[in-house]
Amino acid sequence: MSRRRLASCLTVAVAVAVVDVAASREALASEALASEAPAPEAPEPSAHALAGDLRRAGDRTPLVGVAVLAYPADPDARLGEVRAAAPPAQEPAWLRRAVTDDQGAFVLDDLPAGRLAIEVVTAGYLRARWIVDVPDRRRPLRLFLRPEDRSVYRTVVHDRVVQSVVQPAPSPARRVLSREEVRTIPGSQGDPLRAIQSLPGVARAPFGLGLLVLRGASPRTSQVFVGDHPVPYAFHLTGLTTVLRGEVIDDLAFVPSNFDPRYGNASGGLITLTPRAGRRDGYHGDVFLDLGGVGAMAEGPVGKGSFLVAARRSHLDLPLRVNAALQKYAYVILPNYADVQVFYDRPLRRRQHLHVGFLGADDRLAFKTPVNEEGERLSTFETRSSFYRVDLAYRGRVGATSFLLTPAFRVDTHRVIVETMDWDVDPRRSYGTTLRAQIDHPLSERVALVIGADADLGHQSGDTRMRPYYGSVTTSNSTTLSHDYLGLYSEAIFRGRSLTLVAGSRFAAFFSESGRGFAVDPRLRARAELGERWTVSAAAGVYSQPWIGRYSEAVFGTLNGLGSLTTGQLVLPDQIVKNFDPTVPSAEYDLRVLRSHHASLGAAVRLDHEVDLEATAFVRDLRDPGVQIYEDPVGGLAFGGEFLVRKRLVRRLYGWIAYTLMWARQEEYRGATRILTLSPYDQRHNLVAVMSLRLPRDWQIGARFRLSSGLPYTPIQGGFGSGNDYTPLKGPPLSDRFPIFHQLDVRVDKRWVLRRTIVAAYLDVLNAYNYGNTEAYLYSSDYQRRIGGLSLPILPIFGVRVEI
Amino acid sequence: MTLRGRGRVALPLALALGAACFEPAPPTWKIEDPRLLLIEMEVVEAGPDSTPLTLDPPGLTRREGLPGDRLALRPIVVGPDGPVEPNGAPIWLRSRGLASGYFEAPIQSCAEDPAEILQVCRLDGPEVVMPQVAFKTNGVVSWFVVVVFGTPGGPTSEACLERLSGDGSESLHGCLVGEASLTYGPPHGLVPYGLADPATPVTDPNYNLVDLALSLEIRGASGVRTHVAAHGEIVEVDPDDAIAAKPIVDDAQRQEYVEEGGELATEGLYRIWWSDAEIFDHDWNAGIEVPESRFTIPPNVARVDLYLQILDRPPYFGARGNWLWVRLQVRGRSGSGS
Repeated sequence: MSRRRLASCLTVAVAVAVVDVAASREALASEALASEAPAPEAPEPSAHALAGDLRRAGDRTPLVGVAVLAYPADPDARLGEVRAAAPPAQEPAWLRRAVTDDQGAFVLDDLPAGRLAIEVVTAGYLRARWIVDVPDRRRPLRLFLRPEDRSVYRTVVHDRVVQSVVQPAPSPARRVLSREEVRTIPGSQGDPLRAIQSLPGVARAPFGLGLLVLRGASPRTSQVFVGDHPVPYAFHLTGLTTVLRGEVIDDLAFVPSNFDPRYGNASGGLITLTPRAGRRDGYHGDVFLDLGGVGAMAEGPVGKGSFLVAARRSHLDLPLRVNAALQKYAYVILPNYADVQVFYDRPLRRRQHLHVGFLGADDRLAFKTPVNEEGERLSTFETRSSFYRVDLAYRGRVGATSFLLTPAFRVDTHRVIVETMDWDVDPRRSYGTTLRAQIDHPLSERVALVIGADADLGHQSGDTRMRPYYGSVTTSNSTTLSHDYLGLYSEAIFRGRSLTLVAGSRFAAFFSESGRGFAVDPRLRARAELGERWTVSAAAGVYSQPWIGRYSEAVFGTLNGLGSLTTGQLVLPDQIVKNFDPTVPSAEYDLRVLRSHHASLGAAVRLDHEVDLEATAFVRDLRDPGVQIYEDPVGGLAFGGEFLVRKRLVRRLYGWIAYTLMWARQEEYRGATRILTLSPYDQRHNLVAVMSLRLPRDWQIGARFRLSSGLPYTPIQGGFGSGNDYTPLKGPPLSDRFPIFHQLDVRVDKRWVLRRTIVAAYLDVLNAYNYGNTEAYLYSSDYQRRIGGLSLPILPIFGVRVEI
Repeated sequence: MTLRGRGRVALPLALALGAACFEPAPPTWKIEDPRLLLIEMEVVEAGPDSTPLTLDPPGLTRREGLPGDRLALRPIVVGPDGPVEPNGAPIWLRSRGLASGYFEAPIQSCAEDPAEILQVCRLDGPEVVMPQVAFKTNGVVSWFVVVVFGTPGGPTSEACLERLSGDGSESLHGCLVGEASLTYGPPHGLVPYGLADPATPVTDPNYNLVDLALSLEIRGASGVRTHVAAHGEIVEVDPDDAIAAKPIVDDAQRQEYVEEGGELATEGLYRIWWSDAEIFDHDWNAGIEVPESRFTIPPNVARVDLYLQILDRPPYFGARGNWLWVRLQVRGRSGSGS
């Protein structure tokens, strides 16, 4: 009998595939066949049993329902795992079979004494064989099966905004990324929110910073939720990374406009990150190290629930500290951030679930002077921001009705210290509570109803003191401010055969010491499936956002809203100025309500080979007639189109070409007349092409190419002053643009799957061809000439992660 | 270090950002383009309430005045090739301070503003009469004068003013726009105007700094020699000479002023160095008191223009002072510039 013939026989006998195990049906078929297999030759009488459990190599996930076979081995065979196991050369004399339970455990009974082969062949995994002696083994066997394809480690991110029995209605703006894509998109270093920046509708941020400009909206009008509650800031201070790791997220939903009525207090876009529950199949964890930081995570069962703990600290300051030690007479920047997440999840009786979460983030950025005569460096200026949040989420179902009740408590602090200036600012603390209660109820097979309420209650206090200088006296500006934002929302979802219609509204009441406001926001979404391939969707709605403007002095330069900031001779894009320039707040304006109208119209067609083609037109009109003179305006009009050709990740390849054409204008009022001028967020063209290919032996290579319009900025025409004390003379606001931006990022991933560990490493090379994209201009100290542009050079970023 | 206000943060931040991330900016002490170092002023005609000039010590000129005093103004502009002459007569404006640096056209003549109410007006020439209506800024009673100075090869002074009166869309490259405060004093002279406490002590007027020279200790292959250079002097040096430059100035000329609380105070003299060549080893020195500057003649440089500015107050706030320019000509090297 030939070897192939023998293998075929064995395959039939043990009901597993021999050569081609690519299809998932094989696993089921193999089990079914195994049960029908002809009875093997009876073994020698014996009472031996062999217990063990079967897990996936690397992450040690229990493999459930997998057949484990035992048959006699060559007495001279070497004990242990057989490398590159091939089908047996001849039909075994007898065969025993067991199936793993829900913990991956199995027991092979009725085994004769002697040297045995334990073999597992199942879909998606490499054939594995171990040689063991029976009854010599005293401990249960622990077997690790290596996957054929690392895609088994991939968790597909679902488009789930709120966990509910009522499936959320689609939105024309909905974008979904799988976790695999999030992890491997070149240029984003696995950061979830930075991955979004490669999608249409999101502007390219200067210097690759974490800035979410969704469809031309100011980042301050969009909200990021972690779980069911917002976070005060989504990116760490340096803008490099999200305030929580991608590994602790189960779900990521990105809606650049036209989000549903469950969410309020935002007039731009919405991003929700859903924390994932810790695993219950054993204790797991990881440690990682990359350019930005170092961190660790642990998870596992505890009682009937599970826990997940993750912490991270940046080490960006370490090389800068070394450099500072070597260059005593240089100014030093010391950025630093840390975050921590703790989640506890526990199923309760009657299909109920409890989630307890803790989030913490801390950011510091210090500028130090050169070493003085006393050998000390003084802080020129320093900012410290942090938030800590505890939240509970109680979910459950009563009959067909599901409910959610979730409170969260948060403490935020923000402090700016300007030693060499005349400000001395106590931490601005804010205490907040957010609440959400929601009921989802299907009225019929086609109609469902969502009703809910949310609240955002907060109190903040702060003190800004100016120290005396040149004869002035100390001034102090203590402020306290409370706000109560309440929302009631409802949504009716009708699902027809080819039409889904969602009509909802949100009533909001906003109270603060400085005013009150009310809003009723109707929102409507619809999607029609035209045949098997075409889908048309549309949405329109009103979005209200409470706004308490702040009078504040920007540390780097001019007051907010007066054009480009100038840090000495450095002219940065307004996007950075308006969102990263630390400010010293001194007063708040009265509460007012921003109102924004969103409309989207999209069409999508699904082509062969998992290729999708989408086109969406959008418009957002945000009006803020109450903008104050020293405020940075956020109102304006943005409209345009998004185009996406996407190859979905199925086996080895994913990628897309995204193009956004957008016009963004910001508003100003002269009396009652609204005037629209160019917005700092006007990125007219933004093309992003992403492709990533999995290669054999767990290699993966990808590239991202971006081509986008230069951002508007306010040019400096000359200088005013003498000696070395100059003030820039600026041209008309936003009257010039930085040059066109183009950049190629290349990423290589390699993963080593060991028995109990996975080692994953990546090299992300930003700006692979080292093109000098000008992101800021540097002027001579007297502003007589532009002496250069600042750009991000080629930047290789290496990271390694060990999963235990 | 003494920097004031926003500059105390902005400049270090810019330097820190530049140093940490990207290409380095040239040192701020390097004269690469024409630069307005300071605006000199002296009282040339005493007003009705002022002490007659003849009572001033011989050789000293007042640098602060009382209402009605007439002051002569002079811009000190230097460039890579030494002092710079204007491209067209500099234009002088009297102002209450500039918020944005741009003016609303047309700018009226100060002669048409007898009530002294205009925010900005144009002076007939490089002289200004101390306004009768004074106001206080941070304890200092002052108005301002602004000079608009077109540089050779750039727009004329008039063209610069036109651009400054436009919508800001035209480049101001080659246009120097500087400001100096018109400081009222001596303080007790302001008592009749109700701008000073009657108990204000009587002090001498503040005078312009005089007798500034530069002591050069030149260390070369032939030994060490010392030379005292006067303003405008050309000193021959050898390649690779190491030079220690130290100002010679009488510290007794320090300004005495009255603080908000009525107490007398003085500031030290601030020595600020400039050059058209890369000779200093520090990153920057604007506003930093550097009593002595040491450097070597860079290779392939035919000459080095060295500027010293002496201020009697920290820069940025009503500082007045004197300046000095010395050219170091390198033997055996030809060329007009550094």
